[in-house]
Amino acid sequence: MFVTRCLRNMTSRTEIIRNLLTEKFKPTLLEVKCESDQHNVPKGSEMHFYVGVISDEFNGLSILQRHRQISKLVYEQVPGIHALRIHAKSPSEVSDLSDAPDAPKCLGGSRR
Amino acid sequence: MGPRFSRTIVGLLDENKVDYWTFDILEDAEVRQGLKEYSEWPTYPQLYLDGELLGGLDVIKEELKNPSFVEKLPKRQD
Repeated sequence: MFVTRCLRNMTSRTEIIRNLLTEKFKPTLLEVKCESDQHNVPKGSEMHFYVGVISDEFNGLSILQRHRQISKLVYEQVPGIHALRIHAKSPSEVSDLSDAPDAPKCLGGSRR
Repeated sequence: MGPRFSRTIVGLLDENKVDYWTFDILEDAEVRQGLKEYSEWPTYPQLYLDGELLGGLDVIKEELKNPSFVEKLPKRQD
């Protein structure tokens, strides 16, 4: 983990994900939040993320297609991510991300 | 990812009286890896209909808001 962080110049995964999504989808609104503090993992782990994206790139795409594009990008470019919650809309559908679902409650336990 | 997301999706299916069967992908590494490649979908749970991936938990939660999606899911007969 130390070597990885050095290579990445101490950029957090949150920022990396944000940059990737901004470049690919040119969103009108973007939220990227690390949710690992809600899970039973060591402090500072950046393994669970929520991403909310509003972008014209999603026009005409099914929910599955939108999620597949986002998850493919993030999982391929950012190794070590354990879970990704996605909320993807087009500007014609919503004006903000207030209808995004909350994280499900963690019931503890990190058994894989 | 743990059983939490799977419990959630099963709960949603039960609420909508969907007729489904389950397979525990932790029991078979070949299936676990194979399905990820087949559907180009990296995580579990995964819900399939007629051999086609409908999505993971986030997608299904969103789709279930749409009555025409709910309609096309097979229902329990009880």
